[in-house]
Amino acid sequence: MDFSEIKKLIEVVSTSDIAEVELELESVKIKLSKYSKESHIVVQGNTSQTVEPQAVQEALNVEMPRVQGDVASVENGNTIEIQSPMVGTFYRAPSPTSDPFISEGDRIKKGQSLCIIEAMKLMNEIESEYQGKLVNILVENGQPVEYGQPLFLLEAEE
Amino acid sequence: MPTVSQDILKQLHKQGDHVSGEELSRRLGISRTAIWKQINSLRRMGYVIEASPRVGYRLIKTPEQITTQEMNATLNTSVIGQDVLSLPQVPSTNHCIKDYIKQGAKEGFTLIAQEQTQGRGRRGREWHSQGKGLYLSIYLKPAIAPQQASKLTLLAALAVTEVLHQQYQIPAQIKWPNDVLVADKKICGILTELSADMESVHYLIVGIGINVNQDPDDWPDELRNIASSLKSVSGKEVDSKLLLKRLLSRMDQLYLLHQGDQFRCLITASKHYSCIVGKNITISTASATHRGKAIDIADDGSLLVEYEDGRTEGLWAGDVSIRT
Repeated sequence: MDFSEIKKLIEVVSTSDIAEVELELESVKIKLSKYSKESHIVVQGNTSQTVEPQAVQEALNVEMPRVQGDVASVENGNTIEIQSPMVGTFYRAPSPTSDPFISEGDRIKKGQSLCIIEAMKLMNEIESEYQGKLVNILVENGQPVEYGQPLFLLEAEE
Repeated sequence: MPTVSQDILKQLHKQGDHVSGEELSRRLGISRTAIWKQINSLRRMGYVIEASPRVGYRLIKTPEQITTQEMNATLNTSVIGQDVLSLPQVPSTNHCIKDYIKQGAKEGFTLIAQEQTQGRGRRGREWHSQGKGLYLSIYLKPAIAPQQASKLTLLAALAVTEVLHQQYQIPAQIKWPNDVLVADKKICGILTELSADMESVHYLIVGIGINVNQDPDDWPDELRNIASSLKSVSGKEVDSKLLLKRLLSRMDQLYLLHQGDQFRCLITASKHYSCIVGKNITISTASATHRGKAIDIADDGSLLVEYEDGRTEGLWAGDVSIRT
């Protein structure tokens, strides 16, 4: 079980009526609890070879909302903040003459391109990991951005 | 493409001399008739294969065009170019390789095109690629943080520059971070694209375009003063196939070094070939223009710039031009 599968599991559980899940596979044991006062995730045992044990530990040893998005942190229920994974320049369109990838108010699909972050002539096309409505674009086109800087606010849909 | 014909090609390359049909049939475990059929199909693809009674087959000449089976049969790399696909024409290799990645291509997969109809550079700028050049994209999946990924652009520029120096005696220089120049004219451009989240790289595509055998008349007016080709600077035709093999081999070696945490060596080599370290430069971003002096390439790959107001900072973004 790799990190993206764990994430998927968290997403499925959090949008369902299930209050608590305990899952034990040969290499990993996960317990998700939704309605207790402090949401928590426990991972035990040797994680499988495809996952860096430390990375999973680090990623999961935090409170649940942070885990829910590795590119985003969740605020106010289902409003999601999408952050920059690197230092660079923010571009809203694939080229200066083309239309922006997205505009405020647009419906965003999972996997849809949102923007490009350029660092040292390397183009990183950021894709949405969520489906929902784009509420706010927080950075101007061509502006430098920092690691972890919020770029978009998205109202996630189930 | 049938792997049998690839295997036969591999054997003929390895032998370098005659190899009998019987010997081939023994080595590959197929009938002599099957060997004969495959030899004929290779001939139809442009391979000249001599067949002499008793002594057997000998490879005389390979086709001018880069063929998938030949690259796969003759490249001896560990990651890059392990699987190569050569196509006559694509819109853009960087764009097309994404389909192969989504279909499960292995790391190191390399897509080559004789011609690109929508070749492009940074920010959608056109890259003139009407044949006579070498256009390729390499799929990599390095286990590094996204922030580190731009090092791969430097690595590719270094590989191109080293091959030109060592194998062709062409005095190429690196214009940080993604261009290779000879006598101030562009010979090669690199466009790296990344798909990543906060933690990891999903895939990284290194696109390389090299001007190989263009003549001055091949360039549109607006490029004539800024672009050149290996043929123009060396005075002779360059075999694209051989250039490709040398480039992929060097890329592969450097990529292994990079994974082995030897990035500092690569930075030192990049500095050695840099045409902007020590120069006065202008940095243009979408919002402003700054002047300064390029003083070094930092260990993280960024360009260390001393600005006119005295501050020194690593540069990550923006267009750099040399002030004369």
